[in-house]
Amino acid sequence: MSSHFFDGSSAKRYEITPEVWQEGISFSTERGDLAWRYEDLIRLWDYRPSDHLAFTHRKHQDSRLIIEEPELVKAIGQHAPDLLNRKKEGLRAARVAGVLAVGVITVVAAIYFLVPPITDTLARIVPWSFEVEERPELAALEKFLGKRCTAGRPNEILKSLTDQLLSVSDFPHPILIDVLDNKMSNAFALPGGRIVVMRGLIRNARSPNELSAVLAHEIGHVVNRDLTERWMRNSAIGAIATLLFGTGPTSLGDTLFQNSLSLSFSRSDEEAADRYSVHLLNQLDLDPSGGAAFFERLSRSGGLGETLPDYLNTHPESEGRADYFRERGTGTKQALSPADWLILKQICVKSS
Amino acid sequence: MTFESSGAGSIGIAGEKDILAHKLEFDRNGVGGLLMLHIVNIVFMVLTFFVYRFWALTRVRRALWPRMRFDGSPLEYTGTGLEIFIGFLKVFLLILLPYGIFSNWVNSRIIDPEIGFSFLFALLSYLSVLGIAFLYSAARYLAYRYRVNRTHWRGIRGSVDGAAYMYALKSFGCYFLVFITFGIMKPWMDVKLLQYKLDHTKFGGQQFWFAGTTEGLWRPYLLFLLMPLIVLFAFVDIDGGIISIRFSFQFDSSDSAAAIHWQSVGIVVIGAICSALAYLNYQIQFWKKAASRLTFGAAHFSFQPTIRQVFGLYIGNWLITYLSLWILLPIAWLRKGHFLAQHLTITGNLNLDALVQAEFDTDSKGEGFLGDFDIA
Repeated sequence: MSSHFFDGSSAKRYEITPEVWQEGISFSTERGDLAWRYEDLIRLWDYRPSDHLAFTHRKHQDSRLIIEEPELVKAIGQHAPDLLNRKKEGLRAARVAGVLAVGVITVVAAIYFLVPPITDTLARIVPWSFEVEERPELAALEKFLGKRCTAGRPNEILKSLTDQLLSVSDFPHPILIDVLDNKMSNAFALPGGRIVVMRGLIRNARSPNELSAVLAHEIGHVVNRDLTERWMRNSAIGAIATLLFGTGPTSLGDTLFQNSLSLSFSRSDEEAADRYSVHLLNQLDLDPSGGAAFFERLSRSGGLGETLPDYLNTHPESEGRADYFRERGTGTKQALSPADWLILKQICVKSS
Repeated sequence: MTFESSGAGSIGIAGEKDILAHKLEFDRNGVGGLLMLHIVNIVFMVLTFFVYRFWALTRVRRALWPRMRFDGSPLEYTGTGLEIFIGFLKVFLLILLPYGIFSNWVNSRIIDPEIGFSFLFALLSYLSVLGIAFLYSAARYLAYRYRVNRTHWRGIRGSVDGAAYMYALKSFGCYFLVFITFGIMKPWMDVKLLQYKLDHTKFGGQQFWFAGTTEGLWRPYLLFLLMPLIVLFAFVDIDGGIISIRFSFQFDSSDSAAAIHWQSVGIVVIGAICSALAYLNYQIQFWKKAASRLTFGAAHFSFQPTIRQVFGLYIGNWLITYLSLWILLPIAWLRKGHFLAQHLTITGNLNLDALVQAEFDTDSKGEGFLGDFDIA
């Protein structure tokens, strides 16, 4: 067991007999004497065995001074206790983690609060023609969801109902509406102002105002430019997730982060579309109870959406949405005459 | 006694006795401390959405490197979490982000809503996948460079020069050749890529010298390539269009369809295990040959584990890692380090007097663009 020194210019080991002083450590090698002050020493904490002290000099960090004798280790501890106490070093790791945690929480909070207003503004700036270019062709959708229902008169009634809703919105571009022969009770908006309604929705709707509420909701998505916004938001969230989690295989943390943020943003889109829907219905003095009834039925029908907690859902809770329609709606009229409504219900019946 | 604060002083070179057989040891004591470090790292990573991983990796390396002692002196790792983090940020902003936006844009246009399938965008998408492969090769080289540059022994630094893009181009050429030869040229590729790395690796001012050849590698590699066929011929009879399986598991089933199903599954499992063993055997032969052809000054290397020992290491580490849900991962690290120290021997005069610090600066800033990127 002996102390030794490496000068940082060659790998040669110099055997030394160090002397420990009040101010520092001195030692001699065959080439001369050296004296290092404690304040210039950097302890190499991970050196093994850990009861030996390894130091480098602040101004010559390739050199290594290794003190092995226990009595010298003890003496150094008396003069410069910080060189033996690793607590500070351990706290440094906790401090780094603390600063990073605060940094990450700040970034996530910034995304949560800043991304929606920014992407909302940006999406509205993007020219409508850009979104129209992204509009999927109906033929592509028909392959997956079912053929378009082509009955003439029912389509005219649906178009006029949509135009009626559009007439009170300030949206200047045309909206394409089609019904596909699919039993799902659903409707959705696609980029470029295309709204697709499934046969099941029209069939299950109990009044024209139920259908109007859903159509107005989808028009809300189009007017709010939600499709462009969603694309922007998901790209931003994806980029930030890469920044946080790296580029390796998708991790649980990555999935949770991306999905919880995009689900949360998607719920607020739905709420905005509901608000827009009620606004249009009120403008036309249409009875909102149709919308309320639709969401109540959705709530009663259960399904995955209703059993999942709110934060895992793409849509807000249906009962709350029904209440919203009932409380905020002021209209009294029906959107279609009973005769037109019966004709519209036959939209997917093929004429013989 | 006068204390100086301006530097370490200057000490010249003096002779040191030649050592012919060098001692490589790995210290496996203090498992508790390493486990604690690992757990603290996991907690910190969870609390920081995994951003702490750069610091965690650094702390693990700093704790593991000094456990390897060569001729009584431990290795040291001098990298920092901040360096790797900043390197990652640079790569993210300058490469990953623009690349991600570009490939998203290209992929979204392969199927054009109006004109259908777009050959141009499909080609661009294919090229962007090749781009990722190129970046991955370059990143692997940069990570290797960073690790070596931050490894010290007796105050002497390792260093790697050479260009990451050259390595990536070489990798690309090799991948292409391996692809068009149905995988047969892989041993040649493995040797060529290792040759490039070692040709550019120094410790202090001393260059490693690697005389890599594929001699002795073809047989184990072809054994691996042909293993599925060997298993198939061993267990399956093809006689005039009738395929029958030569062995039968004793399942409690009189249903012949189920029996054939389980026999097929059995053959696939046996095939996979035999292929994995054959590949392991190739890897061992590769590293044995590579070590035997590596010299450092007058020092020679030799790596002589048996396939059974390597198999024991892999299976043991696999069980330790997965059965403990990654909690005991540090034990697997220690087993690896110990294995390397046990089976790697270095003999011959290292001439420590001549082993001097390389003249060029290997600070992180001196490594240029992406110098400190580390994906390991």
